[in-house]
Amino acid sequence: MTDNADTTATGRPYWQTPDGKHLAACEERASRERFFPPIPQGSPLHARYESITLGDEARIYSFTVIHPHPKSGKAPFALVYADFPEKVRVFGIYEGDGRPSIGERVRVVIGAAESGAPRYTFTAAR
Amino acid sequence: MKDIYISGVAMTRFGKHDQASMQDLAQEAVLGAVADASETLDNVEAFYCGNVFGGMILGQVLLRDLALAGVPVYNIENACASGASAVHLAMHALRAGVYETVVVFGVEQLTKLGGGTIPLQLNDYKTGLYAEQGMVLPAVYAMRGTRYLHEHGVTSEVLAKVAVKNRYNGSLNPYAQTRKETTVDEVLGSRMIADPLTLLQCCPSAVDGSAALVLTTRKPQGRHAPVRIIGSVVQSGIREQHDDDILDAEITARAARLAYRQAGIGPSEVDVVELHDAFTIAELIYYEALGLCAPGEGAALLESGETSLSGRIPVSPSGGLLAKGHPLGATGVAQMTEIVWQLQRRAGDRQITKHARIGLAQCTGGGIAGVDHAASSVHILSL
Repeated sequence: MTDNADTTATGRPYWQTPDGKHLAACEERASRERFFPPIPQGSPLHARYESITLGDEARIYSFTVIHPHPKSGKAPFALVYADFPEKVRVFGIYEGDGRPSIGERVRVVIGAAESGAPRYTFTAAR
Repeated sequence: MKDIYISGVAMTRFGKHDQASMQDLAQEAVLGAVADASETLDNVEAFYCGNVFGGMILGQVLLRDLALAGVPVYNIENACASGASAVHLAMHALRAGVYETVVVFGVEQLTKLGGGTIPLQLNDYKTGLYAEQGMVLPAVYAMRGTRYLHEHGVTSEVLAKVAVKNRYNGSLNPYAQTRKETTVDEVLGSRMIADPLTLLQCCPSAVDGSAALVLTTRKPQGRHAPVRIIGSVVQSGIREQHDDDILDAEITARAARLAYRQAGIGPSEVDVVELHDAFTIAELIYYEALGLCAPGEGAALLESGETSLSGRIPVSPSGGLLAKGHPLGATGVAQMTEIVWQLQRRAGDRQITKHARIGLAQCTGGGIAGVDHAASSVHILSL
């Protein structure tokens, strides 16, 4: 089973491009359909797909704001579905100054969580 | 093709059963259904057990003390569609003539999980990655809610009205977990879970219960009008595309079309519906997916009152998952139990006004990323 921190030969998580600057996706050769995250390299299906790179920006298709139980002490956080021009929809955390909105332009930020685990988020595009 | 009858039904009250074990719950439902069918356990040739979190060989464990004569016990898991899937598989065997009479039961004891959101299936790189991002089932439905309000220009008030309707129905149902009516203000004022879904717009996650049916190819001769299953479908989710409309409930619409075709009817002939209202937005979306109204008209259908107990097409007369509760493995079987009671006019204070001839039960099993839902099941029952 692929762990989300599993790294490719480049040392990057499988959902990052080798240079670590973009999200990686895949296109099925037969159907030309595209998906994120990409099929992991160890999958028996891997040869059916070719790698593609997602751009820096997308638009919010929908969103919600999760309100953790007050006893948890955690702050609300926003989640979005972001539609990329490369015809891929990605789910992720939105970190912006305000509430997300449908149709809003967002930018991908690739970084690390507090734990140090690699992660991606979306922020308002300027 | 052989007619498949539901000759007996029973369910436990759905709620927190601190003093009851899962065995107690399952046996209560099974014995109740067998008695309702005026049958004996000796005549039951196989048992089908729908469950999600109970562990391996659950059916055998739960039925052991009934001292059955070694008949087959099958354990079926399809998330929230487990019970309905169990009915579907039982029907295969009955139609093939392998058995004449079987019992299907569903059971779940979610209070043992400690509460909170239902765990996702993490044997999947995509679900695992998204779960790390914060994907939980309420979030998936909440984003449908956000999109619905945006596209149709309605407010959260219409979502709250689903909860108000179903909580009213639940107040009349002695088997429901939540038997207290509510108001739009109370629903909208309850704690926000995943915007726009507040607490009272989400089915409770701490609930236990069981339901059972006796299925047979012998036409029942009892005092109640015989109920047949005339449509039974299970479908799996199709890999999501980048431009999917998250409001079209594709898997449910597909399962419903197949069920209608099997039954030889259309949506307009359905008299009563139990559907998968795990969250308020789900009921509106499923109105459309089941063809009870045109696309985009779900909110209007609710506002018209036609889905109330006295309406043209009562939906969730039991109180639905929102009020009755949603012990996952039991839900599909409990939905059909309610439909049988409604068709046979045994539903007590919540009996729908119209004399129903055809009922529909729909449930979906989710829990993974990349598909609308993992499983959807639609059953159509008829006098």
